Order: sequence, then structure tokens, then C-alpha cells
Amino acid sequence: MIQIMNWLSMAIGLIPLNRQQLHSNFLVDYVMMVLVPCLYLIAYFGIIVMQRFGLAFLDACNSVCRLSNNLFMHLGAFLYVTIFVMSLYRRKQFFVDFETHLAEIDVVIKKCRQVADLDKSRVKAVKHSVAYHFTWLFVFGVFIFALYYDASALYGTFGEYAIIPFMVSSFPYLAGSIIQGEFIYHVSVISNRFEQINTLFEKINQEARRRHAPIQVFDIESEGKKQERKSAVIATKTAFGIEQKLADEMKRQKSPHEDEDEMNTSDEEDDDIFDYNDTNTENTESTSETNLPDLFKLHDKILSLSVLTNGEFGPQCVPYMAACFVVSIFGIFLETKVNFIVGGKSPVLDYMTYLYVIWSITTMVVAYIVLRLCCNANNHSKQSAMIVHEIMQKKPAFMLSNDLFYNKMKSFTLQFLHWEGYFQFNGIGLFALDYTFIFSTVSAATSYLIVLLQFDMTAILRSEGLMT
Amino acid sequence: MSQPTPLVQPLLLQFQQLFFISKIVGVLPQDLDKFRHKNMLEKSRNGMFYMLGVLSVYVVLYNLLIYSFGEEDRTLKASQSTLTFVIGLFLTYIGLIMMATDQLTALFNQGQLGELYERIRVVDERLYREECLLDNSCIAKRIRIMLIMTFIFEISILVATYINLVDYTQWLSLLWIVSAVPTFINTLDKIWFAVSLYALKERFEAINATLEDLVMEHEKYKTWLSGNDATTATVGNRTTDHPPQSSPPPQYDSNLEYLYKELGGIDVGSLRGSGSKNRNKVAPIAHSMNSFGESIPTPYKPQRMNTNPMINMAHESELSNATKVEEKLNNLCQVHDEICEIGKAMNGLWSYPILSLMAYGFLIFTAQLYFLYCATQFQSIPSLFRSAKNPFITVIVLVYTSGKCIYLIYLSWKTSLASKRTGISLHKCGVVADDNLLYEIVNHLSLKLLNHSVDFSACGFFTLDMETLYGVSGGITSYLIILIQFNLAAQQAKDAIQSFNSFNDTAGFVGAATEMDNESSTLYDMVTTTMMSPTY
Amino acid sequence: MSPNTWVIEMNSHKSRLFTHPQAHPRSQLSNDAFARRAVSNDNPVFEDISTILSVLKASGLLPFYEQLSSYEVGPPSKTNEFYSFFVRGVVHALTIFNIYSLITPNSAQLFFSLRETDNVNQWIELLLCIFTYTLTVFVCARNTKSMLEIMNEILKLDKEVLRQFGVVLSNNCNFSVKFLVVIVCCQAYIMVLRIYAVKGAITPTSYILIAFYAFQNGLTATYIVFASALLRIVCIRFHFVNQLLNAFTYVQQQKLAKKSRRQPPVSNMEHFPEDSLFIYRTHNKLLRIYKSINECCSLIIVCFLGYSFYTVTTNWYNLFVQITNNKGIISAHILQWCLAWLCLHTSLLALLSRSCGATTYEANSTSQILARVYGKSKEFQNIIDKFLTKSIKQEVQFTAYGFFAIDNSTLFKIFSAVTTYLVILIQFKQLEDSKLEEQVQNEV
Repeated sequence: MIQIMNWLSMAIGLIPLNRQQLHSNFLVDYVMMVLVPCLYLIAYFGIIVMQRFGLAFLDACNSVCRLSNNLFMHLGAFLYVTIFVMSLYRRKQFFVDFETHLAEIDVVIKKCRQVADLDKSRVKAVKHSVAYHFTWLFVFGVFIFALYYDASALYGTFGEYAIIPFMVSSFPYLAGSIIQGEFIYHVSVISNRFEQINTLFEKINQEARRRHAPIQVFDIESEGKKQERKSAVIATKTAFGIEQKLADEMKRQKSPHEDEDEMNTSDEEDDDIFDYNDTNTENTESTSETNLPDLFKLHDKILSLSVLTNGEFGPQCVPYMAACFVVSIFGIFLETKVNFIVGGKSPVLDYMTYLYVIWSITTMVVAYIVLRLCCNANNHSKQSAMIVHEIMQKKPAFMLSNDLFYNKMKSFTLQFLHWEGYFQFNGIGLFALDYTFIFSTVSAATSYLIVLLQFDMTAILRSEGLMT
Repeated sequence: MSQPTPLVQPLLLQFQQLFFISKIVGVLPQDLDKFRHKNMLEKSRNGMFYMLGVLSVYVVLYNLLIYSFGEEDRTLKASQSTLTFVIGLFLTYIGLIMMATDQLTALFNQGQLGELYERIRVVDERLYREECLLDNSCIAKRIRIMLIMTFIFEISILVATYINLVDYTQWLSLLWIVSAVPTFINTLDKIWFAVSLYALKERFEAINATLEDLVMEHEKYKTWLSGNDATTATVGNRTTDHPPQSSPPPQYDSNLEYLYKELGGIDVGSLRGSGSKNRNKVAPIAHSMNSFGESIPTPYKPQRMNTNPMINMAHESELSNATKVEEKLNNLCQVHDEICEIGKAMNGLWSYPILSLMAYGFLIFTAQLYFLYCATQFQSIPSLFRSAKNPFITVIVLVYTSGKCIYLIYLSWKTSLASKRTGISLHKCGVVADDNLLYEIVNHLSLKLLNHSVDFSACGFFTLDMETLYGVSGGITSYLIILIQFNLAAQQAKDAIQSFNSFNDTAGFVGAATEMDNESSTLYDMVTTTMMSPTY
Repeated sequence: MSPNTWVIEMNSHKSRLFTHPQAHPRSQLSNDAFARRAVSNDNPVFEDISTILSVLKASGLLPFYEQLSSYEVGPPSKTNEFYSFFVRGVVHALTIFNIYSLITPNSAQLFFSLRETDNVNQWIELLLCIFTYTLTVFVCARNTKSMLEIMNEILKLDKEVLRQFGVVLSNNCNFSVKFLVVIVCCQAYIMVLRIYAVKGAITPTSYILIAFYAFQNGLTATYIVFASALLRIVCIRFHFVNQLLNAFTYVQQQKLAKKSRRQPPVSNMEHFPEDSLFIYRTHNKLLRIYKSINECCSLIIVCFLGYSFYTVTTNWYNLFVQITNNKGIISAHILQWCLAWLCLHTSLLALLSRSCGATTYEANSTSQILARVYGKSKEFQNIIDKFLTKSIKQEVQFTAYGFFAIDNSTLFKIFSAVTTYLVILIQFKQLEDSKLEEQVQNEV
């Protein structure tokens, strides 16, 4: 699925070919990125200057239809030009940096997993859930439907020249959505890495829980008991290893970790089934804890990667959301004020209205997925801090401040606080890519709609001859 | 601090041209001679009188301009309601109010402005002592670019409006030049603010870069210690990624500064010269804004290890000795706090001008767009907004006005972000060293850094943040929709009544049809006249 | 970390403390009504705002507390309690009478209007005013105990500060008297305008209604001024604590080092541990006082803000309508009426915003100042860390019943909301006017 989207974006000329190789043929890489915008600009200016091949210049098109068509076309031009300019700004550099950083992160994760004895015998396959596939299919279906509707309507009107109005009507929105798709892909990769380090954190948490029974959390005595247990009990590594693998297996079956479209908030805390005896201590406990500095560094690195991704795709989110907003408002306006009253009388007008509605739904779906994934990534990041906080609470040396372990945890908590104040997925700082964005846009849309819907269209419709 | 020659160049050295222009035009009252010779801003009574004189001259000329170009407005008053006239008058004077605010605030803050730059100089010295490398040369370049753009915008608006829309057969029409004065003075004042803010941001970045350098140094040290290639995957990308520069700029190594002094009696740090000639200054720090500093390596770091064998820094790391580095981290934290305080002081000095600029930007943006709409409907608009009759001039005016506001807000936001990044870089130091004592130091300083805040606001009313921009744009859209909606409705009502009346006249029968036609194509005309090339 | 440890440690540092000659014997006094006789020598509490306090006490909004000493107040005596009940009862009775006469045609005299909408406007304003004041009386009656507690806490704090540092904290609340004068003048002016505007002979009912209306408005405004004065008092104490802390920051230490020119300036940081404990404890107490003032007053403030917002909008609207009247007749009565109301409400809103904003700012700047204290030893760093950890993300805010925070920016937000509504209302009016004009022209 992702590959299809990548090929499509390369074909349309939004990202360069061979994007992960720094030294490849310049001409080959950027040929589509030069060709396709030129085609678009030729079509756009051709329609405006020559006043042909545009829907607005048909006789059947009345003033309402012309206004909506012009708005759709110019909005699309604004969207496409801004997105293209922003894509051109960093070209390959972003992809190369992303891959480099991702490789670094993966190396360290692998090392940590080896130390923590996780999945020695399992291939790290990315298993996707049903919801993931369903979402992709749904999105593809909606896009194909939209493009098909537009193409068929235009073909019916213009014949072979339909490609020209098609370029200025649906193509910009398609391009914008594909860029958002790239954003979604990169954010899901980041989310996936967060999940992996969360499992590693959770492992340390389990070990801490296993060592200290809940009663002894704030007890100074347990410090002494801990020393006794460490020296007294022999651990069999294999025994523990088997049990740990069992635990992981059960966990993995309970919740698919590599699910990009669902929020895994409660899974990692469902540890009631793991009720081991205290007598069974292990040697790998200390090795798992040696992961901590690496895990903290990883968390920081993944957040840096998020900053990088946001720097590249955040600015492209802003015109897309703006276009989505305008198209939705006008779609609702046209649907309720025009189509509801005079639907069926003018096919061109109906086509415009339906085009608005379809593209508003499509862009809203894509925008919602973007927001959801950014929220997910944010939650995973917070989850790390919560798990570390839990680990902190389990240590009886909580109150002593010269403990290296305690200081490490405290350092991570503070680091997370700094990150929280510094970064959140946003669009050039204008709005945070969060669910609160939905709230603010819906309230703004409501207030604009209340004003716009007061507008009296009956006089205009009557003068156009659509009403009696 | 009582040395005869300062360790670092003062920031004000870069502001020479800007100060000269400001002094002539009447934006700042400080002393010109002292600025030239000592690079300091000091109070000056003559400057104050000159500024007050210039201000009164501008006010008089502006009123003359409004009066002489206002014949249309008097007829406007008769045809429209008083309210529109009052609002039009207010909008006409708001440019003058903004200019007066700027100049009067500059007069009140004469002494404090000099102190501000003195504080920045002290901060620079402390940073220099902490081996924090700064480059001031890009500031002069920035100032020049901003001045050139200001000139281009002002002159293009002035000339375009003059040629297209003003009757230049009368010599009184030369007075139209005065209309550009308020915005020009305002822009000059804001260039001071913007560039000083950028300088603060650079200092925050310098602190962050120093911390990142400590981290990288320690990582290399660890690699050298462990001696295996396990981490070459992480370090390899950096050492092999030499920048494609054939000859690196001459290195100004702070450790060798004492050597230079001894050898030649010259103080490299205080070499004068214009910004572009400071080749002996420190190598610029190549840190891009979009990604983190650690992704793009500083070009001089690997070479430093190779070219200075006598300084045994290749295999040592400051972070490995917690007690020694505590002093350095403490100093950096204090400098960070001082820069935050300077930011707050700067915000206080410029709070009223920025408030008036934002109010001006908001009102003019809304008014210009609304009058553009009115012009396409061939309704009458106030005379000082005649630029709204031509869409291209309108676009230039809007880009100019909104560009000023947006750039200030963007810069404030970025500076705020840069100050918040210091804590993150500090924690990287702690994590990379993994030493208990260092963790404690880092935790303590991190708590302090959490409380260093630099948030820019306009008189406390709203923060200079991108979120404010979002809210403002929503507000502008709401107002525009309301105003245009009512205009359309009034137009429709008027047309409906007129057509009803003329329908009753047999002679007006044809007129009704044409009027209805006009009504129906209203929407289309509105769009096409704005998009196509207009002919007024 | 518990406050108890700090109290224990406090006693060991008495050697450095000043002792006020009057404070010690007084602190032995029991909270007994019989000790009232010894009160006559003491300074009255809250001297600066005594005028406002007496006004509020007389109208039943505040209890007639008994002053037990310079730094303590006690609950009112029985007679005074009865008096407060009586006054509140009278107020409620008058309110019911008010509403009754509004419904019946008794008050028809007072409602003359040009248009139907103006009538509705006046109705809503009256109802809002009555509602706000009744709510004020109810809430004040319920909160007498907490108000006494707040005053006692503030006085205890003052005593503690006096004992520790020998500093008497002034209250700087002269603005309260000025505001009281402004309120009285405005209300009297409005009453006079109202009386003059009534046509014909004025019935006693109308007199009662007009007087009560002014009374309600005046007292609500006075209560708001009182809340602002309390906030200012708390702000001054926060500021004092911040000043104490400021002496230990690195900037101040460097200045002292330059002045002394002797050994490195470690000497002044000696007092840091015990002073910091006092500062933390005082800061916590002040935060508690701030929060309890918030709880006491927030419902009243919410209603007042709503009422004020509505009044400001309608008065601006009427003012605009009058000024831009094309017919040329500007009614001086309406102009004066609108200006009086606007003057009163705008100044009250500005006062409230500024007081809340200043206090919030001072409360939040303690941790910022503490972040500037640099101590060499681990003990100092731990002390600093304890407070800073506790105050992470502890944004102190003065909320209006939890709906929104009142700050310096509240005034601006109210102003922009008023402008938006004004633009819409004025546009409607212009549309109406232009339609009327066209019809008139066509008839001619």
C-alpha cells in the first residue's frame, strides 16, 4: 500500500526519484518534478487566457456555477503551487536525513533488544491489523471514486480535451492528499519506533515489579531485603528466558503492536496476568537496566526525527487544511442553498456541487487520519514517560537522591517536560495537529456558515431562470 | 570587564547604516557621534529636539495631504452615513497614530536602549569566555536586505499609486509622497526590533551549539575509549561528511587567542571592519533551522582535531569530569537567564509600537480588502484608500503590511523555541555521560531552565505567537464576511426597490431587465474583475 | 517535605529574629469574646480599605467581625449577626417587590422607549442587574466564615512577617476610596438622569425602584472593588516574598561582592536555608489565600462579567446610534446615560483585570526568581530543587468559576468580542436604515 502511494507520488512529481540516494543522476530524479508542474501551469494559464476548455466558459454554466468553478480552480492552484514550492525547498535532503537517522535508531534498538533478550528467535515482521488495511482500502476507494466521477463527467463534456480541465480541477487536491499520505507514512514509522522502545521500557518495568512486591514500595527495609535476595537466590537464565518469552508472546497476541491506526493506551498496563513469585529473581535484570541510557537517548533521537519530519511536512499541512476548510464550507453552502432547491435542473451546476462535496469528504478523511496519527505518536511518547514514572515508583530508594537509578529516571522525566514544552506536531506553529484542531475548525466553520447561510440566493437563482 | 579593549565586537557595530538612516529620518534620537566612535547609544538632547521637530513637520504635512486629497470624501459624507465616514477618518489617521507612537516611545526609551545593547555586549563577553562561538556578520547582511526590501516596497507602492490613481497634473499632488512616510518610519523602527531579536536568537543557538558540541566531543571520546567499530555507524556519517568547501575559512581558535595576542600584540577579537570583511572572525556555525543541529555537522570540528595537535583535545572530553564542567554549565545557564531577561526588556521597550503595528495591520488588512470589494462594485471609497481600486497595488500593500507583522511574530516564535531547546541539549549531555554527579548537576540546572521563560507579548494583551496569527486571520475573515454580506444585502435591497419602482413605469420597463441582468452578473463580475487584468 | 518540619526548624533560628514589643503579649490572647476590651489600643485591621469594608458591612455583604487584636478578627456578635440578617432580608424583600412591580404596570412610567427592542433591552439589563446582586448577597451570606478565615490568614501572615523581619507591610489600596467616589458619583448621576427622563409625576414606587436599582449596581461594583483590593493586598505580600528571594540571586550576590570587595560572597548565602523555609511556607500560605479568595468571589465575578459585557455592548451600540443619527437630533439624555455606564463598567473591568493579572504574575514569578539562585553546596541545591519540582506546571490562575482565567488579556478579549458584536449590530441597523430611506425616498 505504501509502495503504491510512493510510486504515485514519484509519478506525479511530488518527490524526487531515488530519494534515498544522495548521488544519483540529477536529471533523472527531477524530470517528473519539472514536467508535471509545467503541464499544470500550461493547463491553468491556457484555460484562463484562451477562455476555452474550462467549465466556466460553457454556455450552460450560469453565474453560480462560474463562481464555484473559479473558486475551485484558483484554490487548487494556490494549494498546488504552495505544496510544490515547499517540496522543492528541501528536495532529497529530507529523505536522506530521515533514512540516516532511522538507521541509527534501528541499530540502537536492535542492540537494546538483544540486551533485553527480546524476540531472539522471531523475525521482526510488521503485522498490520484489519483496521489498518480497511483504512487504506477505504481511502483508496474514495479517491478512485472521486477521480472517476470527475474524469467521466469531464470526458462527457469535453471529449479528448478533458485532460486539461481535469488538471485544474481534481489534480491539485490529489497532489495535496498524496503529500499528506507521505506525512502519514513518516509519522507512522516514528510511531512504530516509539512503540518498540515502549516495549523495552515495559520490560524493565516488569522486572522492577517482579523484584519488589507492591507492599514494599515505600519501605526502607526492602532495601535490605533486596540485597539479601540478590546475593541469596540463584537464577536460572533459561528458566527466566522461557517465561519472559511466554510473557511477550501473550502480550503480542493480546495486542498487535505494529498497528498504526489504533491507540494502544491500555495494553501495556494490563499486567495482572503476569504474577510471578518474588523468589524468582534473574540475572538479566541488571542488563535490562543498562538499556536505560540508550533508551533515553533513543527517545530523544526519535523526537528529533519528529521535529525533522514536522519541519518538512508541517508547512504543507497548512494550505491543505485551509483548502479543505474552504471546500467544505462552500460544499455545504452549495448543497443546502442551491442543490437542495434547484437540483437536477442544470447538470453542470449539479456536477460542480457534487465535485465540492466529494472533495470535501475526501480531504476531510485525509485530514482526520493525519490528526489521528499525530495524536497517536504524541501518546506513545507520553507513554514512555508514564512507564518510567511507574518504574521510579517501584524502587524503594525513591526518596534517596544520590541513587544513580533515581537520578536517571528524574533526568528523563525532566527531559520529557522540556520536550513537551518545545515540540508538538504543528503546522508552522499556527495550530497544533491535535484533536483540538477539529474543535476549533468546526466552531469557526459554524460561525461562518451561520453568516453565509443568511445569504439570499433566491433572487439570483430566479434571475438565472432556475426558479420560477 | 574593565579591560581597555573589549574581547568581542559589540553588536551595534553592525547597525551603522541603519542608525544613520534612522537618525536622518527621525526614528531615533540618540547621539550620532558617540555611536560612530564608541558604538554606544547615548541620550542626546539635540537629537530629541530634532525628532520632535521632524514629527511635527510630518503631522502637518500629513494633515495637509488629507485635506487636499479629501474632496471626494466630502461628497462621500453626504451620500453615506456618518458612521462610515467616521470609520474612514479613523482608518486614515491610524497610520499617523502608529508613527507618532513609534517616535514618542523611542524618545521615552532613549537611555534604556543603550543599556540594552550594553547588556548584550556583556553577554557576548561571557559567551566568549565559555568558548561559545558567535558570528555577528550575518546581522549586517540582514539589515541591508531588509532596508532594500523596504525601499522597493515603499517606492513601488508610491509610484504605482501616483501614476495610476493620482492626478499628477497638479503640483499639489507631489504631496502624495507624504503618504508613504508613516509606514516607512514604522518599518525602520521594526527593523531595529527584528534584528535585535534575531541577535538574541543567535545567542540562544550559540548556547545550544556549545552543549551539542560537548555531547559530540564526549561521544568521540567514548568511541576512542572503546576502540571498536560498534558505533562507527553513528559517528561515521559525521566524519565522512566533509562539507564541499575547498578551502575552509581561517580558523579562529579561541584557545589560540592568547597566543595570537602574545605573538602580534593584536587582539583578533577586536579587529574592526564592515561585516563582510571579517574573515578573521570565527567560522560561522552551520546549523540549519529546520532540523536539529546534530544532523548537519559543524565543518570545523573534525579539522580541529587534526590541525591542532598541540592542544590535546582530541582524546579528552569535558563531560568526563563532572566537577570541572559544572562551572561551565552553571555559567551557560546564567547566560541563558540573562538573555531571557534581555528579551523581556526588549519586549517591554517595544511593546507599544508592536501593539500599534498589529492593530494597524489588522485594520488596514480588513479595510483594504473590503474597499477592494467596494471598488469592484463601483461604490465610493475614502480617498486615502485609492490604492484599493487597483488589485495589484492592493496585493503589494497587503504583502508589505502583513509581511511586517508576520515576520515579527515568526521571529518571536522562533526565539522562544530556541530558548526552550537549551534544556533538551543539556539533557543530552547528561545522557551521553551517564555519570551520577553529572546527572545531579543536569537535573538541577534543568529545573532552573524550565523556569526561564521568554514569551513575547504586546503589552500583555496577546502573545506574539503563531497561534495569535491564526486567531487574527480568523477574525479578519469573520469581519470580512460580515461586512461583504451586509454590503451585498444592502445592494440587493436597493436594487430590488429600484427595480420594483421602475417596473411600475412603462418607460423603465427595459431598465428593469437590464438592472436584473446587472444583478445576476454581480457575482461573476466580482470575481473576474479581481482576477483578470483590471481596467479602471 | 511536610510543613511540620519547617515549623520545627523555624524555632531554632529565633536568635536572628527581631521582636516587636507589642506582638508577644498579644499573641497569648485567646480567641475569646471577653478579650474585646483590650482591643482599644490596637491598630484597626485593614485600615486602608476601611471605608469599603464599612460600606459592605452596613449593607450586609460582609460580617461585622470583631477585632480581637491587631492581627486577629473574630466572628461577629449576636446583635451584629442579626443586623446582617435583617439587612439581607430587607434586600430580598425589596428585590421581590422590584420584580413584582416590573411585571405589573406599576413601573410602566419608567419604561418609555423609541422602539420595541429598546424595551426588551432595558428589561434584560434590569433582570441581569437584579440577578447579579441577589446572587452576590446569597454567596456572601454563605461565605462569611471563609471570608473571616481569609482575613485571619492575611493578618497572621502579616504578624509572622513582622516578627521575622520587623517590616510592616502597607496595603496601597487608596484606589479603593477613589473608586468608591467614582461609583457613588456615577450612580447618583444615573439616578438623576432617570428621574428627569420620567414624564409626569413620579410615583413612590418609581422612586423606590430607581433608588434600589442604583443601590444594587453600586453595591455590586463596591464588592468588585473590594475583591480587587484583597487581591492587591495578596499581590503586595507575594511581592515581598519575591524581594526576599531576590536578594539571593546571582545578580544581587555579584553586586554585593563588588560593593564589599572582601572575601568571596559566601556570607550572604548563609541565611539562605532558614530564609528559604520561611519563604516557601509563606508562599504556600499566600497561594492558599489566593485560592480561597478565588473560591469566594468567582461566582459573583462570573455574573458581574456577564452583566458588564452586556451593558457595555448595548451602551456602545446606543452611543453609536446616537452619534451617527442622520436626522441630526442627538438626545443628550441618552448620550450622558451611555457615557456614565461605560465609564463605570470599563473602569471596573480594567481594575479587576489588572489586579488579577498583577497577583498572578507575582505568584508565578517566585519560581522564576528561585531559578536564579545559585548555591555551591548540595544542600542549597536540594532546597532549590524541592520548591522547583513542586511548582512545575503549577500555573496559578484566577479563574472565573473555572470557565476562563482572568488576566491582563481578559480586557482585550472582552473588547474584541464587543467589537465583533457591535459590527454585526451596526450592520443590521444600517441595513434597516437604508431600507427605510429608500422607501421614504420612493414615497416622495
